[in-house]
Amino acid sequence: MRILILFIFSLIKSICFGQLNVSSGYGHSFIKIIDNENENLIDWNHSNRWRVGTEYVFKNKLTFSLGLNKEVFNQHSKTQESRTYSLEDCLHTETYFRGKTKTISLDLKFGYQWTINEKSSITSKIGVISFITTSHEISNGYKREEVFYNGCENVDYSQPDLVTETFHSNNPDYTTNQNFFDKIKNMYLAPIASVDYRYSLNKNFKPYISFGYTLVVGHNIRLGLGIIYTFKKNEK
Amino acid sequence: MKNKLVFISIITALFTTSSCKKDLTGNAITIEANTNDTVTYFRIYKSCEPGPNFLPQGSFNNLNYLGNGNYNYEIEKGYEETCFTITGTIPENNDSTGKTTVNIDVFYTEEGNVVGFQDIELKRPHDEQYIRYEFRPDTYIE
Repeated sequence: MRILILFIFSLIKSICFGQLNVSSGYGHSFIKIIDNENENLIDWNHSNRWRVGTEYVFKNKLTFSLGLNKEVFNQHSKTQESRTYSLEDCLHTETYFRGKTKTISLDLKFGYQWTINEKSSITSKIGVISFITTSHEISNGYKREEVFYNGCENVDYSQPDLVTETFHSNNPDYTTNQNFFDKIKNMYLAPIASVDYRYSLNKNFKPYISFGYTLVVGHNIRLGLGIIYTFKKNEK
Repeated sequence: MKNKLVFISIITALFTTSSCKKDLTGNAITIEANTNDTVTYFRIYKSCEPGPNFLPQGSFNNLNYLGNGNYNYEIEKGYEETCFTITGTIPENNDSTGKTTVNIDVFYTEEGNVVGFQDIELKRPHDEQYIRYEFRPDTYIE
């Protein structure tokens, strides 16, 4: 009980003497998509995001942050695989996909701020990020399926028994007819980790560069830059 | 007070940007199909939701047979459906050589832009083969 009271007391004390920051910035992600069917990593994809956020740095340098991101994923992939499926038929598939997914995400992170010197600091954080897909469009989607009825061994690829080619062009944003609560239902969570380097330009403004990682769409490496505005320190 | 303002702004922005809806357009669509064999139950459903017997939900219309293996159908302007399914059955063919082909092309009637296509090629002899092709026209203004 004493420990709990001591913890609550130190927490309240920290909050009282903490510091509030707001930040905004731009980020770019390099994403290696995970193909769920064959568990291989396929093409590099990219996303761009714009961010606003707020952060509280406690006196003991623990940090808590909340960020809102508007992120656009430019997705493309090209796959080719052969596998045996029911009745020992061999299915050879080639796919090509290009599309755009727009999301809004909210991240909640905890971390610690290390001071390097008077002007520089490094902040590392871990937390969760929740994504809501606001729209999803297929610019081009192509799939060619070739079926060989005698299995995948010794296949003559020039003589398939069944060929199906399907192409989609400018397919629409089918999420736009969902209301906000439908979108919330489709929300997904992912772990996120990040490290920021900050440099104080003056008492209030600190540009930062950040490096982060999350598991969204695939292995998502997040680079970012922006600026932090520090409100006057509360030192009553 | 400043903290409150920041949190309220973030929540308001989240709600505003996530709940916007776009207007429907539903431009007319033409479907053209051809085959060197026959296709039975060549139909279009105004849905992609799975229904009974592996068919889509809801009512259907038959594609119009024009003769010589050619079919067509027009979806008139102003529809509100977001996904359509074309189904059909290619009957068994016992010829020892050659291929059975079915080509389905979907495009906007006035603009001519491609919505999508599906081409099927079967080496003869072959068993009965089902066709199921789904497409989503762009029914929204950007």
